[in-house]
Amino acid sequence: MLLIFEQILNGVQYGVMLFLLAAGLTLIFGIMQVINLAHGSLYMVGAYAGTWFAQETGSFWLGLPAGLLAAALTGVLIEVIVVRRLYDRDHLEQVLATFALILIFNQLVIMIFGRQPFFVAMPEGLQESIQLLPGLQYPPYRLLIIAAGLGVAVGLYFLITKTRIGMLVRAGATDREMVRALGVNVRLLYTVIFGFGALLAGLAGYLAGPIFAVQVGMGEQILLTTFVVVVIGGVGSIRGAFVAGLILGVLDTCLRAFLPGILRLVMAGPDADALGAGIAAMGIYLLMAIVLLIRPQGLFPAAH
Amino acid sequence: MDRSNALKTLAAVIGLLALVAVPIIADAAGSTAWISMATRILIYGMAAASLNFALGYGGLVSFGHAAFFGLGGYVVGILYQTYADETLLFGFIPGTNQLLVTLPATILVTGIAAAAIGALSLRTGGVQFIMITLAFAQMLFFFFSGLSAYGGEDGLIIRRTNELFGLNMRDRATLYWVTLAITALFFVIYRRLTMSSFGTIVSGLRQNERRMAALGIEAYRYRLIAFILSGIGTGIAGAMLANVMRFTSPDLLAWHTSGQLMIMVILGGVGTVTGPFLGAAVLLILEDVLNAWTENWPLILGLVLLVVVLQARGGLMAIVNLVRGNRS
Amino acid sequence: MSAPVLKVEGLVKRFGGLTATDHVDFDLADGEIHALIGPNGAGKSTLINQICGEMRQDEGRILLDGLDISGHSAPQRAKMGLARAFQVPSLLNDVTVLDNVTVAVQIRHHRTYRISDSPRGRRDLFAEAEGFLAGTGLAHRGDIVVSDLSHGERKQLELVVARATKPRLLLLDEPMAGLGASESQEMIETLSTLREAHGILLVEHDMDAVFNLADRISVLVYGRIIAHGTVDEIRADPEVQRAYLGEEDA
Ligand SMILES: Nc1ncnc2c1ncn2[C@@H]1O[C@H](COP(=O)(O)OP(=O)(O)OP(=O)(O)O)[C@@H](O)[C@H]1O
Ligand SMILES: [Mg+2]
Repeated sequence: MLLIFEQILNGVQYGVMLFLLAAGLTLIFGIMQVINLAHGSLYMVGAYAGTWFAQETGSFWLGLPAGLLAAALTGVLIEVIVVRRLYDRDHLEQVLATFALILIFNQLVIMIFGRQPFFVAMPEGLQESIQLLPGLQYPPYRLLIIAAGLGVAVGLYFLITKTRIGMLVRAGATDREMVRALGVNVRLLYTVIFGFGALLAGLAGYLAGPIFAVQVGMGEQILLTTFVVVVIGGVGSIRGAFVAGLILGVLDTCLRAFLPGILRLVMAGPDADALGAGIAAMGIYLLMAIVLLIRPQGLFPAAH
Repeated sequence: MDRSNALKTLAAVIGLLALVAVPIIADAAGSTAWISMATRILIYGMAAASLNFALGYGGLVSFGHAAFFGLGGYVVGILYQTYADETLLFGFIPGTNQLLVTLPATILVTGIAAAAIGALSLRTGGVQFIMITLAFAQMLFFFFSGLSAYGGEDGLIIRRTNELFGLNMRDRATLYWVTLAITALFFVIYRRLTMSSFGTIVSGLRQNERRMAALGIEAYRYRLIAFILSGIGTGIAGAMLANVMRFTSPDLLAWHTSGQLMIMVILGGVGTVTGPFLGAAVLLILEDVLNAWTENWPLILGLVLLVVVLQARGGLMAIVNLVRGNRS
Repeated sequence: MSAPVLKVEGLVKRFGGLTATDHVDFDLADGEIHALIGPNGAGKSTLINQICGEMRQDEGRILLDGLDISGHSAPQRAKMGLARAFQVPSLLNDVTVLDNVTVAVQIRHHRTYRISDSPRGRRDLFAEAEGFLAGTGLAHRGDIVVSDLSHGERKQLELVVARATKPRLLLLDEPMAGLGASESQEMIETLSTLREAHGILLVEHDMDAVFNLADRISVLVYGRIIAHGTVDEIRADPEVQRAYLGEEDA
């Protein structure tokens, strides 16, 4: 029971990270209708830049703003140089251009930091597990990630529903011409949104450092999962990204944790482990296929 | 008109002769590596051309064609292993090492897979279609990664290339010529397809689904057939690749492979007949040359790709046509 | 006049709070031109969209030869003999004029599943398509790619493509819009020859053309048919004068 509870917490923590990535991606999808495969690269940039700065300064907490800043700046840069030209192109060209960005970023990171993964220590003050329930020790760092994710979710909710920029974002998703008519600089708005999405991706990447290794290509696996989140949640919907992120996070974590064990009841150990891992990895894609077949626009279709 | 037709035929004959002569030239030049490279170009060209039929003609942006590429490889691999172990697959299917059996088997398996994936995916469109095709390919990727009976993540070694008419398939040149023959046959069918009545309908649906509906065309079934044909073509290419490499692995099913095939299509020119072959040649050779030159070749490849996508609309075929147009 | 081929009963289409067609009754017989007029935004295109099956009605039904086709898809209805010309030209833009007509011919002949016929094998289709182009303003424009056509030429091509399906009924959404004076005159002549073979629903703002061509006229305002009758009846109808024609004069 405790084990299940612990895995669900892990799942929520993973889900929250997926949400951080998906929030930016779904905004970019929903508002600018651009498929940005390079979103995972921004996650990687945040992780590398933050971790490097943290190692230089010896402080995890100083690494955080460095990671966010690097990711946001990189985001703005690729928006201005590349993505901006893709707004009026078809999806195929968007996929390929941002695929090219992945190649470029991966190789740049290898050139700067080498191929060796970085392993990052838990930040000072958060190393000791704390007792959540009798018998359940849990690392506080993971709780911090959950809190950060929930904080961002709440913040985004207010930003979108209560502020002028949020209103522009909502209007932009449904009616670009209207936003233009309001005299808003749509170009700038897009750049800002893109940079903001990049910042959230960088946050996710930096926070992921102590849990997964910081390595080249780290953005790609999670990017695919993030796309699944966005599509299941409904392209353009922050709320959908949140709900779908949590569902997928928990589902994926629990499948990976428990499926091999269940399979081992009926087959040999190593085979069960391999097959279990395989099926567990298939799980989220299967869910996406099912959701799309029932609701082709996802769980929370953005109003268009 | 007649003269330009004659010129075209002449060009095709010369092109074919040049292709036939590749192993001889390579031998003479002492670079037998060229033969393998040329074989791979033909195979990837078939895969990219097949993708191009769905993508360029049908407007179906599939990000999951690696699924069919990989499936083709595994059909050959699994049938070979079953043959070598002298067991029965699923308890009733004997294995085989005969190309004349494995290719039809590939057509059957990838056809069924494409029918299933297409039937489900085509209920969506736009971004969702891209993502759901990717999802199905990923499912197969993880499935084969977990299939430890057939190599799991490490892939499956095929000790010997499939046999065909008692030819010596260990000889690289022979294998190349066999591949060339299959590619030539493929090319004739594929070219016909793009110009056929069915091809016209499929390309009409890409251009304007609303217009086609007003003329009486139910988009779904035509797109499904196009998707199936496209999947089968890619599967055949995958089967040939497995034969040539004597190896197949989940890598063939990875999303990078789907991306690579798409790059070939766009590099050569979306919706053109010969473009994908050109794209395959350029990409594979570029990778090879850059790789020999610098270990940072992916960076350069990325930049080249970026420039091509952003600047050169129409791909290489546009340039070729430009040159051709100037001459005539 | 023969019995109506197409009958529309109580058709309602709502867009949110807006009722675009409000219990519309309408019919069309073989060999007649039934004009539908009304100010911008009256719901004329919406009515055609529902008849063609592109939009599903919220209420009411559509009968073709007495058969209820309300549930049929747009392609099914097209195969049953409903052809339309779009208000805003909607063609295959990457291929030539002749290709556009050929596709229509080919679909009518059910030649849609052949996967290996050559252009030579399709020659009969091209020849038939040429026949539909002959005598129109596009007769010598067959090799032009549609995206290079002028607006007026596209409007004409819309009509040729619709005719190439050899339909029972033609639903024409403002075929004259955007045409020059001489092109309009040609179009009027073409339409008057077409009435022999097809029933025509003609949506048109050009009153000269309407009064010239129509056997009957229905007037649609804010989604409702406010008047219906022969040309002379409509001309004389005070409500029409007020609601519609009056506006034009003002
Ligand atoms: N898809 C839609 N969604 C929402 N409203 C629509 C839609 N299509 C049409 N409308 C609205 O329905 C009303 C009727 O439109 P419709 O296009 O049928 O008018 P029309 O009579 O064809 O006008 P026009 O002469 O300008 O072509 C208009 O107010 C229009 O804005
Ligand atoms: Mg209209």
